[in-house]
Amino acid sequence: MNRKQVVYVVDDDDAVRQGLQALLTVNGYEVATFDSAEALLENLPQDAAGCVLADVRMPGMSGLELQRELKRRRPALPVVIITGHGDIPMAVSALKAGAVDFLEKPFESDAILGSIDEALGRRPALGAGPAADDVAARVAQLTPRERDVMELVVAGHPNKIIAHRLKIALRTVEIHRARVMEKTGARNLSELIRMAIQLERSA
Amino acid sequence: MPPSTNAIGQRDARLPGAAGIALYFACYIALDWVSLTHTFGGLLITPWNPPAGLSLALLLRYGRRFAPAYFAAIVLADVLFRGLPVVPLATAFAALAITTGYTAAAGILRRRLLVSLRLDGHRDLLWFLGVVLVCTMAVACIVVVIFAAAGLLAWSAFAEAALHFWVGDVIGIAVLTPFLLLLDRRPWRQSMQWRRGAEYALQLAAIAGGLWLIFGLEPTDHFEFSYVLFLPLIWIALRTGLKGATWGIVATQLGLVMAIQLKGYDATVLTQFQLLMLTVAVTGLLLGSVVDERQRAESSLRESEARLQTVVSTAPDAIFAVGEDGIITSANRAAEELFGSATRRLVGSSVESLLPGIQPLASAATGGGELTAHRLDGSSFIAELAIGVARVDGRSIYVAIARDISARKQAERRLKEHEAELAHAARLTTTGEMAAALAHEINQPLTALISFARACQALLKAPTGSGASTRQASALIDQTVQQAVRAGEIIRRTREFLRRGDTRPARIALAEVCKAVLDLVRSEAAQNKVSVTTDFAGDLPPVFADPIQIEQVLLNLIRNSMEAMKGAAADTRAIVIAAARSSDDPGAIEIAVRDTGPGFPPEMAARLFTPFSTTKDSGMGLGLAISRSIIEAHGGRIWMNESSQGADIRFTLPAYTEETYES
Repeated sequence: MNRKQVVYVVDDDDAVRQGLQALLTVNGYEVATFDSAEALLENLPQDAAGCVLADVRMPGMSGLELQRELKRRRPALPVVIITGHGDIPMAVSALKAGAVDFLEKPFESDAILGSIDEALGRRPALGAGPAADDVAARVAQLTPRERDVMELVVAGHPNKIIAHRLKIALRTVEIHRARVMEKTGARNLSELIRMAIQLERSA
Repeated sequence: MPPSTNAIGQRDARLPGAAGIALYFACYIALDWVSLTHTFGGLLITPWNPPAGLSLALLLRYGRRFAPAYFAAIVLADVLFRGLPVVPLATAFAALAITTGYTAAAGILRRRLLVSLRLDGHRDLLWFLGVVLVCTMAVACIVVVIFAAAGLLAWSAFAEAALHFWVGDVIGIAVLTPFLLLLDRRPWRQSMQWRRGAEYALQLAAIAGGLWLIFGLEPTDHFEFSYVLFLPLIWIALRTGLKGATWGIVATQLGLVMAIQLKGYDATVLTQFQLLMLTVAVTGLLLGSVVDERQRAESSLRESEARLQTVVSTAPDAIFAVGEDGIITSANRAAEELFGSATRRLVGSSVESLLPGIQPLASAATGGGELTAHRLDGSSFIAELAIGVARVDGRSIYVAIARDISARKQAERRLKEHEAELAHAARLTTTGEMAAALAHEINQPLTALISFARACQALLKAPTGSGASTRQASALIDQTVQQAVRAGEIIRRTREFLRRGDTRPARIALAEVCKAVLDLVRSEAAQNKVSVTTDFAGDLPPVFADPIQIEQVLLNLIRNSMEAMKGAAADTRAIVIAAARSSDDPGAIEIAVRDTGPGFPPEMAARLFTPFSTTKDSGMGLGLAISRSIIEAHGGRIWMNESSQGADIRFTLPAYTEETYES
């Protein structure tokens, strides 16, 4: 125990790795960088603690594959996914698979530091957090139609498809969507997805 | 129809056996006996000589191998009926001359002249009669010379004897040979139809009546009514053709001989009647032959017509005939189906109302083409036509074959549209993919850049401002700048790529490029209710540009306009692509893409062609930047005409000249 927590950064771009290393080091984190998922899996100490920050698109094993592999080998090690070309379905699958967060490049330092703090500070088991009841209470405020929209949004569908599926106007979808964000207090889509996942697990 | 005697090709018909030869001898002797009633001076010369007819028929059939039998028959009959002649040698010579003469006649006819042994056609018949007349004349002269030389005849009677002999043989042959040649092996098969039996009986009665008219009325001259013999024979020939005529001739001849026999007239009268009989026989034969020919022609015409009719009526294509007045005179079932409706029929309709513009096609030498056709119910389709002209009796008959190729045309059009859609999609994908790749590429240095800058900031905020941290901060700023430079480099590389991007300028007509672009956006424009028109100056020279890239530029501009006009009233949405010589630069063409949309907001106008500046919710803001790169790579320029109400983007391209090409 008490081994120092390390942020393991996995990205094939040298500059991104260096930049993150500088940012995290200056902010007091212990950092180890790897240019591929394979390199991380090979060099990860047996008793590693901390979290993994992984890019999705890399030569060889992708960040999402790494996430699955880590879940199998080191379920206690939280993962934050970063990507240069993310889309919602990918984010949903990453978050459902247990990622702490899914960040799109370029991200501000606050966002990445917040995610890492969350990853390092929280317990590995998800859904038991004090926020779970709170989330359920917030979602309960949604009208049935808003719940429909939320479900489709977190399933990764763009507004156009949602409008078509629910047979309502595009503009109406946009309004519903804004209401959902407002009532749940989600600041972004990633948060909304996480709330939905949390809700699903506690249900 | 028995094949044994009807084809001249069967030259080696097997000779009849001993029984056959014996039968021949029997027939010969019987016929000779019948005709013996009126001999000329007790010699071989008879007023009519049916054995010659029988023998020539057999010579024609079996060839010269039959000659010995003929010779033997002549001698045998002579010995039988006239006892041992006074000069046996003369009889032998005469028999030899007759045999040789008719064998030669048969040979000539078989080898060169007859198409078939059934005397098919009047040509065969005329040759037959001609050869018979000449050969019998020659034989008659030779035989009479032999008799005269043998002292059996006075030389003074030469002419009369020769005439008697000649007429006798000619009539014998003319009456019997065609009859035998046309005699079927089983004549009753065809003849014994009871329906026709009555007619045959009437015809025979007519012959008998004619003979009675000639011979029955006592006080009259025998020749006065002789012409009536023609009538029954003409009747028979018209009704039954050559074959019937041969039967009629035989019947008339038999009746004539019997009548003369009954009346007890002498040989001279018989010979006179035989000349008449010859005329009757030749007339009957020729008439019968012509009737046969016409029947054959008619039946072959009927057959070919039936064949053609079957082809036409079962043809899957519409076939119809049109008279000179443009009225359809006949049409097959497919044509009725293709054009017809329940209420009106095709025949009698004007072809021009169904196929407008068919007349120039029919008069042209092309022989067909494609036309828009109208059905009788008013609907239309695309028809492929083939037209043939037949000239009959100075009139033209047009035969048209039409096929509905609407489905094929539609498939072609669909394929074309599909291809255009694919091309469109490919273009958009290329742009889209490039944008996505560019975004990803730029995200990397930006991520690093933010991290470095924030790290530096955090470092500077830290309380311990040692020299080491200052150096560290400086290094971080350095790295930040490096990443900014890297991002700029990516943008520059992209633009360079677009500018270089395999530009292949060529001599192109703007109208063609425009047409290609309009094809690509047609469905989209229709969907957005936007009218897209062109306004090209008349004297527009070609331009020197890469057609694909110019298409890309036009496509970008038109799509921008369409998107910008989404909020405008549907009936005002219009895009005009105009092109004219540039007023500033005579060597350039100025192209304008104008729309009736809201135009650009003032704050956008200044950075319209800068990458990533956009008024659209979904868009990279690359379209105009890429367009500018392309136009500048072509040596032109692109700008916004501010005086216009809606958006009005203009660009120039160099006009194509010989110098442009050489440089």
